[in-house]
Amino acid sequence: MLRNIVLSTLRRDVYTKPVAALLAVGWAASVALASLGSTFAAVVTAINMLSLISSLVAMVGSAIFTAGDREGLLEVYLSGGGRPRYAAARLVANAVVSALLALAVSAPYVAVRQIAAPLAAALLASVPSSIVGTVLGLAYSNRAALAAVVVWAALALLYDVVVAFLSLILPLGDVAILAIQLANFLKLPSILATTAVDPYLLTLGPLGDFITAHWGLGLAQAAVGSVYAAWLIALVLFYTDTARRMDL
Amino acid sequence: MEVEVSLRKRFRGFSLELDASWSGPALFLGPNGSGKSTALRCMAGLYKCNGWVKIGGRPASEREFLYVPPAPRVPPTLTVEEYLNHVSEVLDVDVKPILGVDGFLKKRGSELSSGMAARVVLAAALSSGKALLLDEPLLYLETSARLELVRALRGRLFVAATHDPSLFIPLEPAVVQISEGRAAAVGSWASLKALVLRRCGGELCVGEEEPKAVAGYVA
Repeated sequence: MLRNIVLSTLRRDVYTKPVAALLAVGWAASVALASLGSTFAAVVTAINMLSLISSLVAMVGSAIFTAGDREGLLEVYLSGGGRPRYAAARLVANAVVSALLALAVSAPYVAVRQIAAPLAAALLASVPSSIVGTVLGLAYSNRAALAAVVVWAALALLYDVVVAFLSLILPLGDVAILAIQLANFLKLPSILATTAVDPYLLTLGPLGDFITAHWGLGLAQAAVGSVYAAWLIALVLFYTDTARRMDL
Repeated sequence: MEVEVSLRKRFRGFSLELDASWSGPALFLGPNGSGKSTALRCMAGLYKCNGWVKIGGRPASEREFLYVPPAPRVPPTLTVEEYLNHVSEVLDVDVKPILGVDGFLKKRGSELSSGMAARVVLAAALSSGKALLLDEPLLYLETSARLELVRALRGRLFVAATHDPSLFIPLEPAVVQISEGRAAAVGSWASLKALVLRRCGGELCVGEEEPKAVAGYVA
Protein backbone atom coordinates (compact mmCIF):
# COMPACT_ATOMS: atom_id res chain seq x y z
CA MET A 1 0.00 0.00 0.00
CA LEU A 2 2.87 2.40 0.81
CA ARG A 3 4.25 2.18 -2.73
CA ASN A 4 0.79 2.70 -4.20
CA ILE A 5 0.14 5.76 -2.07
CA VAL A 6 3.54 7.31 -2.83
CA LEU A 7 3.06 6.82 -6.58
CA SER A 8 -0.52 8.03 -6.42
CA THR A 9 0.56 11.16 -4.52
CA LEU A 10 3.27 11.92 -7.06
CA ARG A 11 0.89 11.47 -10.01
CA ARG A 12 -2.19 13.00 -8.43
CA ASP A 13 -1.03 15.91 -6.29
CA VAL A 14 2.49 17.11 -7.02
CA TYR A 15 1.46 18.76 -10.29
CA THR A 16 -1.60 20.48 -8.84
CA LYS A 17 -1.61 24.27 -8.81
CA PRO A 18 -0.92 24.86 -5.08
CA VAL A 19 2.01 22.45 -4.85
CA ALA A 20 3.45 23.54 -8.21
CA ALA A 21 3.18 27.19 -7.14
CA LEU A 22 5.00 26.48 -3.88
CA LEU A 23 7.72 24.62 -5.78
CA ALA A 24 8.15 27.53 -8.19
CA VAL A 25 8.51 29.98 -5.30
CA GLY A 26 10.98 27.59 -3.67
CA TRP A 27 13.09 27.40 -6.82
CA ALA A 28 13.11 31.17 -7.20
CA ALA A 29 14.26 31.55 -3.59
CA SER A 30 16.82 28.79 -4.01
CA VAL A 31 18.37 30.48 -7.05
CA ALA A 32 18.33 33.85 -5.29
CA LEU A 33 20.06 32.35 -2.23
CA ALA A 34 22.70 30.75 -4.44
CA SER A 35 23.35 34.14 -6.03
CA LEU A 36 24.27 35.56 -2.60
CA GLY A 37 27.53 33.65 -2.71
CA SER A 38 29.33 31.26 -0.36
CA THR A 39 30.16 33.63 2.44
CA PHE A 40 29.44 32.62 5.98
CA ALA A 41 26.38 34.86 6.33
CA ALA A 42 25.01 33.82 2.94
CA VAL A 43 25.18 30.12 3.83
CA VAL A 44 23.45 30.67 7.18
CA THR A 45 20.78 32.70 5.39
CA ALA A 46 20.34 29.84 2.91
CA ILE A 47 19.99 27.38 5.81
CA ASN A 48 17.24 29.44 7.42
CA MET A 49 15.38 30.22 4.20
CA LEU A 50 15.46 26.74 2.65
CA SER A 51 14.45 25.24 5.99
CA LEU A 52 11.47 27.59 6.17
CA ILE A 53 10.41 27.07 2.56
CA SER A 54 10.73 23.30 2.78
CA SER A 55 8.66 23.21 5.95
CA LEU A 56 5.95 25.27 4.23
CA VAL A 57 5.94 23.01 1.17
CA ALA A 58 5.89 19.89 3.34
CA MET A 59 3.11 21.09 5.65
CA VAL A 60 0.81 22.44 2.94
CA GLY A 61 1.62 19.59 0.58
CA SER A 62 0.95 16.88 3.18
CA ALA A 63 -2.34 18.52 4.13
CA ILE A 64 -3.36 18.55 0.45
CA PHE A 65 -2.21 14.96 -0.13
CA THR A 66 -4.15 13.65 2.86
CA ALA A 67 -7.32 15.65 2.24
CA GLY A 68 -7.12 14.67 -1.45
CA ASP A 69 -7.63 11.02 -0.53
CA ARG A 70 -11.27 11.90 0.07
CA GLU A 71 -11.71 12.32 -3.67
CA GLY A 72 -12.41 8.70 -4.49
CA LEU A 73 -9.52 6.91 -2.80
CA LEU A 74 -9.98 6.97 0.97
CA GLU A 75 -12.69 4.30 0.90
CA VAL A 76 -10.49 2.12 -1.30
CA TYR A 77 -7.48 2.50 1.01
CA LEU A 78 -9.58 1.66 4.09
CA SER A 79 -11.00 -1.37 2.38
CA GLY A 80 -7.62 -2.44 1.05
CA GLY A 81 -5.63 -2.16 4.25
CA GLY A 82 -7.78 -0.99 7.14
CA ARG A 83 -7.41 2.24 9.08
CA PRO A 84 -4.08 1.53 10.88
CA ARG A 85 -2.28 0.52 7.69
CA TYR A 86 -3.72 3.43 5.76
CA ALA A 87 -2.73 5.89 8.48
CA ALA A 88 0.82 4.54 8.63
CA ALA A 89 1.21 4.40 4.85
CA ARG A 90 -0.14 7.92 4.40
CA LEU A 91 2.23 9.28 7.06
CA VAL A 92 5.30 7.64 5.53
CA ALA A 93 4.24 8.54 1.99
CA ASN A 94 3.81 12.18 2.96
CA ALA A 95 7.23 12.21 4.64
CA VAL A 96 8.87 10.65 1.57
CA VAL A 97 7.18 12.98 -0.92
CA SER A 98 7.87 15.99 1.31
CA ALA A 99 11.54 15.04 1.49
CA LEU A 100 11.59 14.74 -2.32
CA LEU A 101 10.01 18.19 -2.60
CA ALA A 102 12.58 19.61 -0.14
CA LEU A 103 15.27 18.05 -2.29
CA ALA A 104 13.74 19.63 -5.39
CA VAL A 105 13.51 23.05 -3.72
CA SER A 106 17.15 22.90 -2.59
CA ALA A 107 18.48 21.46 -5.84
CA PRO A 108 19.28 24.79 -7.56
CA TYR A 109 21.20 26.03 -4.51
CA VAL A 110 23.14 22.78 -4.11
CA ALA A 111 23.86 22.60 -7.83
CA VAL A 112 25.36 26.11 -7.84
CA ARG A 113 27.05 26.28 -4.43
CA GLN A 114 27.64 22.58 -3.64
CA ILE A 115 27.17 23.16 0.09
CA ALA A 116 25.18 20.44 1.86
CA ALA A 117 24.13 22.16 5.10
CA PRO A 118 21.12 24.06 3.64
CA LEU A 119 19.92 20.85 1.98
CA ALA A 120 20.24 18.99 5.29
CA ALA A 121 18.24 21.71 7.04
CA ALA A 122 15.55 21.53 4.35
CA LEU A 123 15.27 17.74 4.64
CA LEU A 124 15.19 17.83 8.44
CA ALA A 125 12.52 20.54 8.38
CA SER A 126 10.33 18.64 5.93
CA VAL A 127 9.76 15.57 8.12
CA PRO A 128 8.05 17.06 11.21
CA SER A 129 6.22 19.53 8.99
CA SER A 130 4.81 16.70 6.91
CA ILE A 131 3.50 15.01 10.07
CA VAL A 132 1.70 18.18 11.14
CA GLY A 133 0.35 18.62 7.60
CA THR A 134 -0.95 15.05 7.62
CA VAL A 135 -2.81 15.66 10.88
CA LEU A 136 -4.35 18.80 9.38
CA GLY A 137 -5.33 16.87 6.26
CA LEU A 138 -7.19 14.37 8.41
CA ALA A 139 -8.88 17.09 10.42
CA TYR A 140 -9.93 19.35 7.56
CA SER A 141 -11.30 18.21 4.23
CA ASN A 142 -11.95 21.42 2.31
CA ARG A 143 -9.67 23.87 4.08
CA ALA A 144 -6.69 21.67 4.84
CA ALA A 145 -4.26 23.80 2.83
CA LEU A 146 -5.46 27.01 4.47
CA ALA A 147 -5.16 25.42 7.92
CA ALA A 148 -1.61 24.35 7.07
CA VAL A 149 -0.63 27.86 5.98
CA VAL A 150 -2.06 29.30 9.22
CA VAL A 151 -0.25 26.75 11.42
CA TRP A 152 3.01 27.22 9.50
CA ALA A 153 2.77 31.01 9.76
CA ALA A 154 2.14 30.73 13.50
CA LEU A 155 5.10 28.42 14.07
CA ALA A 156 7.57 29.90 11.62
CA LEU A 157 6.78 33.62 11.64
CA LEU A 158 4.48 34.64 14.46
CA TYR A 159 6.50 32.62 16.97
CA ASP A 160 9.58 34.81 16.47
CA VAL A 161 7.54 37.99 16.71
CA VAL A 162 5.99 36.84 19.99
CA VAL A 163 9.39 35.80 21.39
CA ALA A 164 10.91 39.14 20.38
CA PHE A 165 8.02 40.99 21.99
CA LEU A 166 8.28 38.91 25.17
CA SER A 167 12.00 39.53 25.40
CA LEU A 168 11.28 43.26 25.38
CA ILE A 169 8.89 43.16 28.30
CA LEU A 170 10.25 40.18 30.24
CA PRO A 171 13.80 39.62 31.47
CA LEU A 172 14.37 36.40 29.50
CA GLY A 173 17.76 34.85 30.23
CA ASP A 174 19.88 32.74 27.90
CA VAL A 175 18.41 29.51 29.23
CA ALA A 176 14.87 30.75 28.64
CA ILE A 177 15.72 31.86 25.10
CA LEU A 178 17.33 28.48 24.40
CA ALA A 179 14.29 26.66 25.77
CA ILE A 180 11.98 28.77 23.62
CA GLN A 181 14.00 27.95 20.52
CA LEU A 182 14.06 24.22 21.29
CA ALA A 183 10.32 24.24 22.00
CA ASN A 184 9.62 24.93 18.34
CA PHE A 185 10.38 21.98 16.09
CA LEU A 186 10.68 24.25 13.06
CA LYS A 187 13.70 26.00 14.61
CA LEU A 188 15.68 22.84 15.30
CA PRO A 189 16.74 21.90 11.74
CA SER A 190 18.27 25.32 11.07
CA ILE A 191 20.05 25.34 14.46
CA LEU A 192 21.43 21.85 13.77
CA ALA A 193 22.55 22.75 10.25
CA THR A 194 24.06 26.02 11.48
CA THR A 195 26.27 24.10 13.90
CA ALA A 196 27.78 22.35 10.87
CA VAL A 197 28.96 25.58 9.21
CA ASP A 198 29.34 27.84 12.24
CA PRO A 199 31.41 25.96 14.86
CA TYR A 200 31.40 28.90 17.28
CA LEU A 201 27.71 29.59 16.70
CA LEU A 202 28.44 33.26 16.14
CA THR A 203 25.30 33.66 14.04
CA LEU A 204 23.13 32.67 16.99
CA GLY A 205 24.35 35.67 18.97
CA PRO A 206 24.18 35.48 22.78
CA LEU A 207 22.45 32.12 22.45
CA GLY A 208 25.44 30.76 20.54
CA ASP A 209 27.80 32.17 23.19
CA PHE A 210 25.79 30.45 25.89
CA ILE A 211 25.73 27.08 24.10
CA THR A 212 29.44 27.02 23.23
CA ALA A 213 30.45 28.25 26.69
CA HIS A 214 28.34 25.75 28.62
CA TRP A 215 28.10 22.72 26.34
CA GLY A 216 30.63 22.91 23.57
CA LEU A 217 29.76 22.20 19.95
CA GLY A 218 29.61 18.39 20.14
CA LEU A 219 27.31 18.30 23.12
CA ALA A 220 25.16 21.05 21.64
CA GLN A 221 24.71 19.06 18.43
CA ALA A 222 23.80 15.94 20.39
CA ALA A 223 21.36 17.86 22.59
CA VAL A 224 19.61 19.61 19.72
CA GLY A 225 19.54 16.35 17.74
CA SER A 226 17.97 14.59 20.70
CA VAL A 227 15.32 17.27 21.06
CA TYR A 228 14.60 16.98 17.32
CA ALA A 229 14.22 13.20 17.67
CA ALA A 230 11.98 13.65 20.69
CA TRP A 231 9.81 16.06 18.70
CA LEU A 232 9.52 13.52 15.88
CA ILE A 233 8.45 10.79 18.29
CA ALA A 234 5.92 13.10 19.97
CA LEU A 235 4.45 14.17 16.64
CA VAL A 236 4.18 10.59 15.40
CA LEU A 237 2.42 9.57 18.64
CA PHE A 238 0.05 12.53 18.34
CA TYR A 239 -0.69 11.64 14.72
CA THR A 240 -1.26 7.98 15.59
CA ASP A 241 -3.75 8.89 18.29
CA THR A 242 -5.50 11.37 16.01
CA ALA A 243 -5.74 8.90 13.14
CA ARG A 244 -7.09 6.22 15.48
CA ARG A 245 -9.87 8.35 16.92
CA MET A 246 -10.89 10.81 14.23
CA ASP A 247 -13.80 10.48 11.82
CA LEU A 248 -12.35 10.52 8.33
CA MET B 1 -25.15 -14.74 4.83
CA GLU B 2 -26.31 -13.40 8.18
CA VAL B 3 -25.30 -9.82 8.94
CA GLU B 4 -25.58 -8.35 12.43
CA VAL B 5 -24.80 -4.80 13.42
CA SER B 6 -24.75 -3.03 16.74
CA LEU B 7 -23.48 0.49 16.18
CA ARG B 8 -23.28 3.53 18.41
CA LYS B 9 -22.27 6.98 17.30
CA ARG B 10 -23.01 10.29 18.94
CA PHE B 11 -22.96 13.67 17.23
CA ARG B 12 -24.20 16.97 18.54
CA GLY B 13 -27.98 16.70 18.20
CA PHE B 14 -27.98 13.18 16.80
CA SER B 15 -27.30 9.76 18.15
CA LEU B 16 -27.07 6.49 16.22
CA GLU B 17 -28.04 3.41 18.19
CA LEU B 18 -28.57 0.81 15.53
CA ASP B 19 -29.16 -2.83 16.42
CA ALA B 20 -30.30 -5.02 13.57
CA SER B 21 -29.69 -8.32 11.86
CA TRP B 22 -30.70 -9.58 8.47
CA SER B 23 -29.75 -12.16 5.91
CA GLY B 24 -28.18 -11.38 2.53
CA PRO B 25 -28.35 -7.98 0.86
CA ALA B 26 -30.23 -5.20 2.59
CA LEU B 27 -31.68 -1.79 2.00
CA PHE B 28 -31.50 0.94 4.61
CA LEU B 29 -34.61 3.06 4.29
CA GLY B 30 -35.62 6.13 6.20
CA PRO B 31 -36.08 9.87 5.94
CA ASN B 32 -33.22 12.34 5.51
CA GLY B 33 -31.16 12.60 8.66
CA SER B 34 -32.32 9.28 10.05
CA GLY B 35 -28.80 7.82 10.20
CA LYS B 36 -28.59 5.61 7.10
CA SER B 37 -25.34 7.10 5.82
CA THR B 38 -23.88 7.32 9.32
CA ALA B 39 -24.49 3.61 9.78
CA LEU B 40 -22.80 2.81 6.47
CA ARG B 41 -19.85 5.04 7.32
CA CYS B 42 -19.49 3.30 10.68
CA MET B 43 -19.44 -0.07 8.94
CA ALA B 44 -16.87 1.20 6.42
CA GLY B 45 -14.54 2.50 9.14
CA LEU B 46 -14.81 6.10 7.97
CA TYR B 47 -16.43 7.02 11.28
CA LYS B 48 -15.11 5.77 14.57
CA CYS B 49 -18.13 4.19 16.20
CA ASN B 50 -18.68 1.96 19.17
CA GLY B 51 -20.21 -1.46 18.67
CA TRP B 52 -19.59 -4.23 16.20
CA VAL B 53 -20.47 -5.71 12.84
CA LYS B 54 -20.64 -9.44 12.23
CA ILE B 55 -20.91 -11.37 8.98
CA GLY B 56 -21.81 -15.03 9.26
CA GLY B 57 -21.44 -14.83 13.02
CA ARG B 58 -17.84 -13.63 13.04
CA PRO B 59 -16.65 -10.06 13.61
CA ALA B 60 -16.09 -8.10 10.41
CA SER B 61 -13.60 -5.26 10.03
CA GLU B 62 -13.69 -2.35 7.60
CA ARG B 63 -11.48 -4.36 5.25
CA GLU B 64 -14.43 -6.61 4.41
CA PHE B 65 -16.50 -3.68 3.13
CA LEU B 66 -16.12 -1.10 0.41
CA TYR B 67 -18.10 2.11 0.80
CA VAL B 68 -19.35 4.07 -2.20
CA PRO B 69 -20.38 7.61 -1.23
CA PRO B 70 -23.54 9.29 -2.55
CA ALA B 71 -21.53 11.64 -4.77
CA PRO B 72 -18.58 9.49 -5.90
CA ARG B 73 -15.53 11.35 -7.13
CA VAL B 74 -12.50 10.44 -9.17
CA PRO B 75 -9.28 12.37 -8.39
CA PRO B 76 -9.40 15.33 -10.81
CA THR B 77 -5.82 14.95 -12.02
CA LEU B 78 -5.99 11.21 -12.73
CA THR B 79 -7.50 9.66 -15.83
CA VAL B 80 -10.20 7.03 -15.35
CA GLU B 81 -7.74 4.42 -16.54
CA GLU B 82 -5.10 5.51 -14.00
CA TYR B 83 -7.72 5.55 -11.26
CA LEU B 84 -8.98 2.06 -12.08
CA ASN B 85 -5.42 0.73 -12.30
CA HIS B 86 -4.66 2.26 -8.91
CA VAL B 87 -7.78 0.71 -7.37
CA SER B 88 -6.83 -2.63 -8.95
CA GLU B 89 -3.42 -2.50 -7.31
CA VAL B 90 -4.69 -1.44 -3.89
CA LEU B 91 -7.49 -3.99 -3.76
CA ASP B 92 -5.57 -6.61 -5.74
CA VAL B 93 -8.44 -7.15 -8.18
CA ASP B 94 -8.89 -6.88 -11.92
CA VAL B 95 -11.34 -4.03 -12.45
CA LYS B 96 -13.85 -4.88 -15.19
CA PRO B 97 -15.01 -2.09 -17.52
CA ILE B 98 -18.69 -2.40 -16.67
CA LEU B 99 -21.31 0.36 -16.54
CA GLY B 100 -19.87 1.73 -19.78
CA VAL B 101 -16.68 3.13 -18.25
CA ASP B 102 -14.61 1.83 -21.16
CA GLY B 103 -16.06 4.71 -23.17
CA PHE B 104 -14.19 7.35 -21.21
CA LEU B 105 -11.05 5.70 -19.87
CA LYS B 106 -8.83 8.55 -21.09
CA LYS B 107 -10.85 11.33 -19.47
CA ARG B 108 -9.51 12.95 -16.30
CA GLY B 109 -11.55 13.10 -13.13
CA SER B 110 -12.05 16.83 -13.63
CA GLU B 111 -13.67 16.15 -17.01
CA LEU B 112 -16.26 13.68 -15.75
CA SER B 113 -19.89 14.45 -15.04
CA SER B 114 -21.32 13.34 -11.71
CA GLY B 115 -22.95 10.35 -13.39
CA MET B 116 -19.75 9.31 -15.15
CA ALA B 117 -17.78 9.55 -11.90
CA ALA B 118 -20.44 7.46 -10.17
CA ARG B 119 -20.18 4.81 -12.89
CA VAL B 120 -16.39 4.69 -12.56
CA VAL B 121 -16.43 4.33 -8.78
CA LEU B 122 -19.25 1.79 -8.88
CA ALA B 123 -17.43 -0.22 -11.57
CA ALA B 124 -14.34 -0.34 -9.37
CA ALA B 125 -16.41 -1.33 -6.35
CA LEU B 126 -18.29 -4.03 -8.21
CA SER B 127 -15.01 -5.57 -9.38
CA SER B 128 -13.90 -6.13 -5.81
CA GLY B 129 -15.06 -9.13 -3.87
CA LYS B 130 -15.96 -6.96 -0.90
CA ALA B 131 -19.36 -6.51 0.69
CA LEU B 132 -20.53 -3.21 -0.75
CA LEU B 133 -21.91 -0.31 1.24
CA LEU B 134 -23.76 1.80 -1.31
CA ASP B 135 -24.92 5.25 -0.24
CA GLU B 136 -27.64 6.40 -2.64
CA PRO B 137 -26.12 4.38 -5.50
CA LEU B 138 -28.78 5.33 -8.05
CA LEU B 139 -28.54 9.06 -7.50
CA TYR B 140 -26.58 10.14 -10.58
CA LEU B 141 -27.10 7.15 -12.84
CA GLU B 142 -29.11 7.08 -16.05
CA THR B 143 -31.77 4.40 -16.37
CA SER B 144 -29.69 1.89 -18.31
CA ALA B 145 -26.80 2.20 -15.86
CA ARG B 146 -29.20 1.74 -12.94
CA LEU B 147 -30.46 -1.50 -14.42
CA GLU B 148 -26.91 -2.69 -15.14
CA LEU B 149 -25.91 -1.88 -11.59
CA VAL B 150 -28.79 -3.90 -10.18
CA ARG B 151 -27.93 -6.81 -12.47
CA ALA B 152 -24.30 -6.67 -11.33
CA LEU B 153 -25.39 -6.73 -7.70
CA ARG B 154 -27.21 -10.03 -8.09
CA GLY B 155 -25.69 -12.60 -5.76
CA ARG B 156 -23.56 -9.97 -4.00
CA LEU B 157 -23.64 -9.04 -0.35
CA PHE B 158 -24.45 -5.34 -0.13
CA VAL B 159 -26.19 -2.74 1.95
CA ALA B 160 -27.70 0.19 0.08
CA ALA B 161 -29.07 3.32 1.68
CA THR B 162 -31.67 4.60 -0.73
CA HIS B 163 -34.87 6.56 -1.16
CA ASP B 164 -35.69 4.62 -4.31
CA PRO B 165 -35.92 0.92 -3.39
CA SER B 166 -38.09 -0.27 -6.27
CA LEU B 167 -35.23 -1.24 -8.61
CA PHE B 168 -33.71 -3.48 -5.97
CA ILE B 169 -36.79 -5.70 -5.58
CA PRO B 170 -35.55 -8.44 -7.96
CA LEU B 171 -32.55 -8.91 -5.66
CA GLU B 172 -34.86 -9.80 -2.76
CA PRO B 173 -33.13 -7.61 -0.18
CA ALA B 174 -34.00 -7.33 3.48
CA VAL B 175 -35.31 -3.92 4.44
CA VAL B 176 -34.10 -2.09 7.53
CA GLN B 177 -36.11 0.98 8.36
CA ILE B 178 -34.04 3.50 10.28
CA SER B 179 -35.74 6.25 12.18
CA GLU B 180 -33.91 8.79 14.32
CA GLY B 181 -30.83 6.61 14.49
CA ARG B 182 -32.60 3.42 15.47
CA ALA B 183 -33.79 0.37 13.58
CA ALA B 184 -37.55 0.84 13.71
CA ALA B 185 -38.26 -2.33 11.76
CA VAL B 186 -36.64 -5.04 9.69
CA GLY B 187 -38.76 -6.35 6.83
CA SER B 188 -38.43 -8.67 3.87
CA TRP B 189 -38.23 -7.91 0.18
CA ALA B 190 -41.74 -9.26 -0.22
CA SER B 191 -43.04 -6.55 2.06
CA LEU B 192 -41.17 -4.03 0.00
CA LYS B 193 -42.66 -5.38 -3.22
CA ALA B 194 -46.17 -4.84 -1.84
CA LEU B 195 -45.12 -1.36 -0.84
CA VAL B 196 -43.84 -0.28 -4.22
CA LEU B 197 -46.93 -1.49 -6.00
CA ARG B 198 -48.95 1.07 -4.07
CA ARG B 199 -47.15 4.34 -3.88
CA CYS B 200 -48.62 7.34 -2.18
CA GLY B 201 -49.11 9.95 -4.83
CA GLY B 202 -46.04 8.87 -6.73
CA GLU B 203 -43.78 9.04 -3.68
CA LEU B 204 -43.06 6.56 -0.93
CA CYS B 205 -44.65 7.68 2.33
CA VAL B 206 -42.92 7.46 5.65
CA GLY B 207 -44.32 7.46 9.13
CA GLU B 208 -48.03 7.58 8.32
CA GLU B 209 -50.28 5.54 10.51
CA GLU B 210 -51.56 2.93 8.10
CA PRO B 211 -52.30 -0.67 9.02
CA LYS B 212 -50.02 -2.13 6.34
CA ALA B 213 -46.95 -0.03 7.05
CA VAL B 214 -43.87 -1.97 6.14
CA ALA B 215 -40.49 -0.78 7.36
CA GLY B 216 -41.99 2.63 7.74
CA TYR B 217 -43.26 2.83 4.17
CA VAL B 218 -47.00 2.60 3.67
CA ALA B 219 -48.09 -0.29 1.46
